[in-house]
Amino acid sequence: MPRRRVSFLDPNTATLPPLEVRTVTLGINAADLADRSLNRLCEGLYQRILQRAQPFVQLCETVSAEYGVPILQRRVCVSPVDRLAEGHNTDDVLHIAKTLDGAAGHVRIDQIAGFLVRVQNGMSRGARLMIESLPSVLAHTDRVQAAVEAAGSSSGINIDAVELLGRIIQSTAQATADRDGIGAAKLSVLANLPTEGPPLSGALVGEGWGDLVVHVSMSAMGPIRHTLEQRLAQDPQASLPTLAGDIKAAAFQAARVAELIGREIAQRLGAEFGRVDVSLAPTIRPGQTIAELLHVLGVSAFGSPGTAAALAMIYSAIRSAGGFASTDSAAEANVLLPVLRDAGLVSATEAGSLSLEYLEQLSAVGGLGLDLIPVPGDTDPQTLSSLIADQLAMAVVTHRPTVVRLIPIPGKQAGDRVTFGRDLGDAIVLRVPKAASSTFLNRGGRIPGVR
Amino acid sequence: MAKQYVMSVMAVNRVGILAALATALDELRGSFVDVSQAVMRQYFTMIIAAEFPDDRDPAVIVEHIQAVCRPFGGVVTLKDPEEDAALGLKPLISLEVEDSIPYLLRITGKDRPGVLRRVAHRLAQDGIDVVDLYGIRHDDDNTFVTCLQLAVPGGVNVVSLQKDLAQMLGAEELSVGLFHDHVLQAISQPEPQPVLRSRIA
Repeated sequence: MPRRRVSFLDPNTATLPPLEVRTVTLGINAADLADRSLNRLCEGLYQRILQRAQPFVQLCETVSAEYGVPILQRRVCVSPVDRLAEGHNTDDVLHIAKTLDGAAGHVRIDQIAGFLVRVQNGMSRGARLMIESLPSVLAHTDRVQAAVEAAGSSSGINIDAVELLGRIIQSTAQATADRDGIGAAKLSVLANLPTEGPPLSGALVGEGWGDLVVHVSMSAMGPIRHTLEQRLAQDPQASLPTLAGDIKAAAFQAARVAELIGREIAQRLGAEFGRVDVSLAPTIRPGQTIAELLHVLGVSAFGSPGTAAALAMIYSAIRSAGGFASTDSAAEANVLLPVLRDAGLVSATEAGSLSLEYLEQLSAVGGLGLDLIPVPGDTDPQTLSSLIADQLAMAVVTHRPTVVRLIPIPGKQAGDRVTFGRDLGDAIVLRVPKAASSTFLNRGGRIPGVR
Repeated sequence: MAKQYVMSVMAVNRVGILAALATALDELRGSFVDVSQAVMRQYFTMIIAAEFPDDRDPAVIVEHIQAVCRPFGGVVTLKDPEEDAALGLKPLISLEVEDSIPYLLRITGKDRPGVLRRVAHRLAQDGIDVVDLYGIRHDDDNTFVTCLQLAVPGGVNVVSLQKDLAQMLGAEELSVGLFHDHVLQAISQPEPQPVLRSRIA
């Protein structure tokens, strides 16, 4: 018999939330391609990516159209690039990166990740070589995302790596000075990287998976805003528990749609289905920013008193919703606060209600580190390292993942506007407190973990 | 043996109409097989698939129900599916067809003449059945919302259909959404989604 879905069919009683998927990431295992011959390695990598990613891109388009659910970004993550690069020199590493970039461009994917170095315990010669090659790699590629895991709750913080990274970030920005230092926007410093995925920016696809795995990220900003606006139109005095319930219901729907689309793509591709990332992130859609969401909830300006409390409520709701929506939801959910991608955060920095120090504190209520922060171009490497060390320390103590992406903008000072276009947008350069002393980090070594 | 008919009853919506209708059916020794009821403005409307004894004359059925519903101004029409089939009037498709996929089509925007006609023509090109349809016009801002439940036959290129509808209506600033039934199930039911085992390449 025909099934009736009155709740969705009746235009008076329900409207569908804006449903979409933020990212679909294909993880490709390339471990078997290790080769001392650079040409054979790069040829193998290129062909492997084309062979796996071409049907993936096609399937993303087909499934998206068939289900009526847009997919905002398609990514590929190749692993383990660090092991493939072992024994090769810096020129070879650049060649490998260009191979990844070329293959990504050929199959029309938005980002290619997997250029990850893990140095949370110590730094091998190969790891140091990869890190030192990053300025050149990120200057000569467009789609490659790189990451360095420099800390973990059990391992602690590798201060030697952090000290090196301050210099590498500054060099990367200088190497791409003609494009406002965009290279640094593609370099993440991480702590507590989730081992099973989904991949944090530029990181690995997770460990213990097979040759092909599909991870997805939900896009909940639109559904949450839609639900809150509907509720507040009916009841402008709605209580916080009511609104928290609404956020949870909308996040549930977003996570369910992401899982449905991800599973369908994985099934048709013959891949394993990985994890559903239920983190809340801004999108390129108008009005889908965390600042505007908080404004709907009644926080007048992002960064003003009450911001952390509102974020904590959202964080709690998306975590519970994700766990209930899917048995394969990621262990960690975060609220992503990428200043460059979030027009609302940019407005808050422009209005003076949001500072770097306040962003640092928000990692305690679900914020994912210091993400895509434009800083003055003359910020010295020591200050960059100190900022990274502070943020990694918070992650080590709270046992949560963190991402630090600082972008020194060559020739710009605090308060200047910078424009990147594409998916990064505009931003205001944030003021950075200068590190008072370099003695602490210069002592080197490793800060022990927190058990 | 029992024989099935499909009837529609329309009457002024007043307390007691359903009781009167059910009583009439009892008296005719008929029983409901499938029923759908709605109140449209001030009118009670019901579409009924009902079974009656083989020897019950359809004219008697209509006459009796009409008589019972007279205080409500009731109008009854009756169709015999077997008779229509004999005349070659077979339905094109239904949700029972195994390879048809349910979709929800939602169109919103400024109210304009001919929107539903053009959409229905495009759907008919692919043999798509409109199984259910709701729609309302908001006079305060001259907008409308309409939702159609579709049975899309297997093999229909949904991507092309979406593009065609978006092209046809997008120019008039109408918003079109075509959603797979699985999406609606996923967001509206708390049960976990069925997990199929992937073929690992």
